[in-house]
Amino acid sequence: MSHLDRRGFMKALLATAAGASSARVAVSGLTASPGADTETTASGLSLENGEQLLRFSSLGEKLTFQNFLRAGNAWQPATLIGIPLVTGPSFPLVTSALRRQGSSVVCEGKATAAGLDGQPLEYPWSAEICALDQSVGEPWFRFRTTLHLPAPVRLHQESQIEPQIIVWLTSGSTLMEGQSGSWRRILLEQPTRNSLGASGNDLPAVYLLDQNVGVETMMFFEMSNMGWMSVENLPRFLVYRCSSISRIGRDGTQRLGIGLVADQATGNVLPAGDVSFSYLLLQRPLTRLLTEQEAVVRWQQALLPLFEEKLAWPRCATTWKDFAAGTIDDLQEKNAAWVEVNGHAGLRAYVKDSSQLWKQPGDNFELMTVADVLWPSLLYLRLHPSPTFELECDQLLADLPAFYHADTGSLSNDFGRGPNERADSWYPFENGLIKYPMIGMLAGSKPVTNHFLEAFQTAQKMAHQYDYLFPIYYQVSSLRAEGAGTNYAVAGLYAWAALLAYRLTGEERYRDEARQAIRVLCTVPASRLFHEPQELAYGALAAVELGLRDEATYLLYEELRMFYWCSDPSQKSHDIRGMVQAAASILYPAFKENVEAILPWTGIMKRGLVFEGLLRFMDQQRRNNFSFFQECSGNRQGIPMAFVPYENLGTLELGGQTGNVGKESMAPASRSGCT
Amino acid sequence: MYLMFEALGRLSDRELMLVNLDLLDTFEAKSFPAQRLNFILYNPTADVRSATITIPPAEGRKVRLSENGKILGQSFQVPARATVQIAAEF
Repeated sequence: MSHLDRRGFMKALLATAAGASSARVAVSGLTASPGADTETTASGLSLENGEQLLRFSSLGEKLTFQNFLRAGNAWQPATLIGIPLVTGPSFPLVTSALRRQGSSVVCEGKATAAGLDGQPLEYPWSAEICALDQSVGEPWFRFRTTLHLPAPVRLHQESQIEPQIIVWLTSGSTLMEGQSGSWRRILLEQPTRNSLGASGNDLPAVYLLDQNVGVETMMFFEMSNMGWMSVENLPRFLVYRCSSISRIGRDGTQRLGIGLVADQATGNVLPAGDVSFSYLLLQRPLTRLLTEQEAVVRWQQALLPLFEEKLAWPRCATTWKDFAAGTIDDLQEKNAAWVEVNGHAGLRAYVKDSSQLWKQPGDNFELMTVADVLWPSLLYLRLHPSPTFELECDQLLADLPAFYHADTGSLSNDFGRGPNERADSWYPFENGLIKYPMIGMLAGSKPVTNHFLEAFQTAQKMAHQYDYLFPIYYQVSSLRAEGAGTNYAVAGLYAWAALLAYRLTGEERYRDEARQAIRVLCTVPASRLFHEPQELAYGALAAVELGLRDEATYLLYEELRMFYWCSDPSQKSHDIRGMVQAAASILYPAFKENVEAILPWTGIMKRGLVFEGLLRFMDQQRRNNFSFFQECSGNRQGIPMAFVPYENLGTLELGGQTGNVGKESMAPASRSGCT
Repeated sequence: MYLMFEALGRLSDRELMLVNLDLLDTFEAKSFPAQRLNFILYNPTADVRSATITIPPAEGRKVRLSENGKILGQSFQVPARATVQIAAEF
């Protein structure tokens, strides 16, 4: 018996687990009625969508559901029975009305929790469970539950945290779980994490393929509608995870579920008023054990129709042409935007005195700042000639060769590099190996393009030394990694840089390098690819340029995992919807990464890979990115440097604090203004 | 944002989006903007909308707009949530 076969009986055992728990409803004999809505039965209402059948508990009971998947002429359970809409002892939602209304089930009733004084607090609630129209995507079920709280509720934050949203899927033997059950699952959890495990606050969704039972399950949480989250209870993604959960039983079994789960809270007060819980569920039969990359693509393709653009404009939005012109003017404010080092003029990373976190050193400026401004400015000047601005760009161009150091064969980010120089890998790979040669080519500067080619040889040495699995930090002189962090997505930047080298030299070996880097990117675990979002975008661009469309698609979908698919209802002055988390675990969107994360999409679309969903994210940014400018929702009259955007917008996880990182003067001409 | 969404092609209706696709393939400032530009037009709304395109770098010269080789007028209807790939030559 092969190793696989010996443990093959696991599948049968687990497959019956959900059904065995389904004591209240005899589902195995239930006959499917394709195409017809399933009507009320003795045990409650049902709702059909696609290959799914959702059954609800009876009127007068606590509202729960169980989902089934079509299997020939029968329905097989795809979840355990008795799934509550909201998990926690404060949410015993007993139905007093339960009815079908078109493609929805609507219900209402009363529940009892504890008030802040510890006394019972009865409250009404209502819910709508809707079968989404398949013409716009997959047959999702949307669950929207609203508690109408007359007073605040004291939550029970004891051994288990509430509220959570948990859909229990299977119950199986702990022995078998370890034998092979756990090996036949693919879990894609969110928010994304950095390479050392710190979590962010991006796409709120989860995917689980459980090949043991032949079911893939997806959930999406509509955070825009859940404005009750705060430090008074659960501060969103500081504590919540869209992930799996297991519970060990005394009898040697364990239950497996997925949902919006938490194991800690910062408070125990659910505020008075309407408190909503909003999420979507999709289950599909799937007996094949996919690759993780295939699972990412299937998941994102199902999710993408759920991203809803908000077709509004921030108050200060005029045109990007106006803002670009304003940026160019602000950039010429010498005192606020410029710094001089040993007779070389450079740009401050942040407008003078605008950052609460960083202080501009008097003896340095950064390649990133200079490159970010120069690349688009050289193009802007072709459209809007300006002798004074051109002179300033010439000064910045003159700085560029000095960032290259022959002793290390590398481009430094610091104009004045210190001893024992350490690099944060995405800086030299993006600024040194993509923007730097682009500027060199645009300006026709041989010294710059030659330095790039020399620096690329060092990067190639590093790529080979680490098998394209790049560290975050390394010693520039020795290329020795420092720390435990990785930044595998640097391979995306490296691949596009290799294609720029190919463009300059015509040498095929550079295309081979790019191809190899993409191959490694698409082999490592999907959860390990998150650092700066534009790394994945450049990887996708390189892949599509090489004719690797499946790889490009996968990398784009990976990148979308770092986007903000929802609004943040705690932030009233701006909407982060459509933006991207600036780096895995950084917990805010930044102007720089917003634009750099979508800029490569233009080249990808030019090469024929177009998803309508990408355009929705782009358009949302075209609107919402105005919010990065000071007082966008207020009075902008008389504000100095008003056209240099803030680096960051506030989020719930960081207690708001829009703009505290500073006005990122690297951004004006390049990103806010020009690109 | 300006270069991507407005500088090379503009729409009279700002609810529609016109994205230029050439920025990462522009390697010589001297030849920018090229006389053939590539765009995607996207209507994110739930309604059919009328698109009127202007190409600022053409500076009043006659512009030939096409979709997959088929000539487009300067104004045309864009269905809800539809995309149109456009080449502009001048």
